[in-house]
Amino acid sequence: MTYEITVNGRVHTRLPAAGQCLRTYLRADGWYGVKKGCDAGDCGACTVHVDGMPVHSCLYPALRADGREVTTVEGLAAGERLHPVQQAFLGARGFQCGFCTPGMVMTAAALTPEQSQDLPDALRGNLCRCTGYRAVVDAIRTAADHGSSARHIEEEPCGEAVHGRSEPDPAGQAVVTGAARYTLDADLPGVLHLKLLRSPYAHARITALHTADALDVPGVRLVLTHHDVPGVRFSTGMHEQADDEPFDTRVLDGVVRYAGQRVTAVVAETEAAAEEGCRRLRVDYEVLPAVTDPHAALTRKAPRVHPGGNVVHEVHRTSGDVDGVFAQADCVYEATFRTQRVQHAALETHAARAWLDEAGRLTVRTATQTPHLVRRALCRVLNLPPRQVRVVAGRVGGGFGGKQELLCEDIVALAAWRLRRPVQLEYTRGEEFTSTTRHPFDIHLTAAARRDGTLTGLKLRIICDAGAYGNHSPSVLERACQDVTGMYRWGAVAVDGHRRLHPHRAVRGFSRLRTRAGHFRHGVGPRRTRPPARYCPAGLSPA
Amino acid sequence: MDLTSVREVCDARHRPQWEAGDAWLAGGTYLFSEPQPQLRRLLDLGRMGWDALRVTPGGLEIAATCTIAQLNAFVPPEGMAWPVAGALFGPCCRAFSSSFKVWNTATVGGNICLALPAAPLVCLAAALEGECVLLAQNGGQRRMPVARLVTGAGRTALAEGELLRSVLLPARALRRRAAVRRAALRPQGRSAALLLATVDPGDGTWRVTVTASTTRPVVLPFDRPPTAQALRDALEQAVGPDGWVDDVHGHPAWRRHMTLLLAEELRTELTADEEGA
Repeated sequence: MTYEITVNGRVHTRLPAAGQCLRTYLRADGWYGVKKGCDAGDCGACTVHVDGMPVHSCLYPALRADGREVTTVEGLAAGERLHPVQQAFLGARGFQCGFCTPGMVMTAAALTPEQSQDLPDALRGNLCRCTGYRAVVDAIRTAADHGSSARHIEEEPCGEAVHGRSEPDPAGQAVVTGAARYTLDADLPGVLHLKLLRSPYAHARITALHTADALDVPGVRLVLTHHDVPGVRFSTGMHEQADDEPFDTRVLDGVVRYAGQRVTAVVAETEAAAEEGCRRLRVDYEVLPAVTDPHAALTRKAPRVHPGGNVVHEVHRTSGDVDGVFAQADCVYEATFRTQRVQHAALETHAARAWLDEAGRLTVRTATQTPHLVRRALCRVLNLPPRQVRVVAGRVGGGFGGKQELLCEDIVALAAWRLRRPVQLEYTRGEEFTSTTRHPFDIHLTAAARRDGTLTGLKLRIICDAGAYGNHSPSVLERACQDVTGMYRWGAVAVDGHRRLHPHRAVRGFSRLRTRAGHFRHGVGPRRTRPPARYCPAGLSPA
Repeated sequence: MDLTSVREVCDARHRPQWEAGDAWLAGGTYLFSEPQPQLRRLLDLGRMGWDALRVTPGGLEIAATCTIAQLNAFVPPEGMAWPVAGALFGPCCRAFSSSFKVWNTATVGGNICLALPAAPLVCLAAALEGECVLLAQNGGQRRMPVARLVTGAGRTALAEGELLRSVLLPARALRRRAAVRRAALRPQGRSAALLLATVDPGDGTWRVTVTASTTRPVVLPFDRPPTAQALRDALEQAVGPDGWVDDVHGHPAWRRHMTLLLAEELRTELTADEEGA
């Protein structure tokens, strides 16, 4: 069977795998402007044109492109001259992280004038997690009407003035042409692929692992179990102060504490072989009693998630005469607020690659907001000196706090170290949702006030569901309990916070928003509350 | 996404023998959107060469491989008084929560056979008395109304290996007057209720079709314009207390409320037209 497609004018004849989508085919041949966001046809980051027709290349069978012409974002410009849409995205700065931009550009370049009139409809297949779409819409409108109605576009800088005007994004040109390099946007010859088998149980002990069938799969090079990894415990939450967080996590553990936790890793020549290896693994579990409700977890009878119990952190603070002000209050407001688990949904999923450089030094390229802290953690987990470990980040395709987390690096580093070969792990969108989310909160708030609008007292009881591991939990709870009191001037404050031990991650705002949201629901309403009650330096905040 | 367990893509023109682990590949926009570890072969309909849309004396034949974009662009030939095409085809195509880029390759047949409650072409075809032409593995052929092909959320009456060849919309249904209503949690969101009503300008019969809020298509024929109460009663009885869809795209009580509300809107609109005419 022969196969031939033309990509941006270049002919490719390599035959795709039977079930391969066009997105991975194009990326494997170096067209890294084609991004994986959702891999399910929803986010549009992989948009390309096939014979001029815009499609989501993650849904397009690669074999079907036979005999066709494909244009990716790399092929949109006419030589050095940018396509008008690219120019408009550059001018309006229609991007932040830029991971969605190639798909946005390719979609916008294919819109009819009618479609450009209704952008919420035309862009329903394109997600941006950074901009809030305003800058994207500005860019597309600019391109559609040749700039005549453009707003928020920087004029060409005039004269030598360096103050009072915005500088263009230094990476802008690379972002709009697809040349910006994110974590996996580079050829790494001989790279092996790692896939994780995850626990179906919320709490279980692994009693036996049968790996022979998985190792028999052609292409499988290694199966890692909890018997093969260092015993050292660490926190996946990356903080400058390492002891902010409890060291309760192992690379692979003999006990799993949430549905979705890593059980084993399979490393193979292809993702297909690694997935097949995972399907052939057999694991015997002793299912243990689980607790999934944070209130139930605080009771004495609750199953213990960790030997030390179910409370990872507590905050109890009082300032002023709380009982006194409540006794004398003109009105008391009491309510409970609940927030749910939320996923950051950065368009670039978590991913990492590890290899040994010419000097034998472990090198990790990862989608992280904290490369220096990842390096420190890897040294500790693998027992390597800092000079043996180098951690780099490419351009990061959205983080929002979710990439302040060690989720891929430890296991790929370990596999690469063992095999002396490059190893890569790329999370699927499904894995993002099962293993990284923001903490749900229960906030019971009681506020006392005088008739003139003066807020005299605040009592907070906060239960935070930390999930099965303590990563970020103490600091998130501290922020929630501490910063909440900073918005208004309170006469007296009492705060009680508990975190129960799915693990959760840092998210932008870092908890302050949740407890503050509770404030805005006071009976008097923000407009009437604020003037007499707003915070001033003399206001009280518990130490 | 890559379907890593798939070993082979077979050209369906060569009539491959159906095996366990096979799936028909039309546009691929559903198949490639989720892991499919059970699949070993894809039987590719991409080169069948079926006419996407064929106007016949009896009506309109829509091939299973007709894309949503092709249906959306359909204009009845000159002289064909098919008001339904203008009134319903566009709104139903745009009722997809997915992008216009997905409509370029997603197919009518795929949407019907996936049989999701929100599938807008199930609603369209059921409302227009569409009949499925089904090809069996042994070469046999049978026909079945679309409204009976879809038996539940994601469930159909298709036999193992049976293939949807086309949907026939009779000319009499295309000559009816029609109106459409849709509810979703957000403007471009997945349909939580999709209702089509048609009236025959000749004999005055009505047909009200509900999908998205119900687990299977509900089609209610009326000999004459129904009263508000008769329409409401007929809907409640046909759907039953457990027939409302319950998922993240809408609470069943809300779906029921919106369905009854939108049905009444349709009734009022088409009755007003009738009186105006």
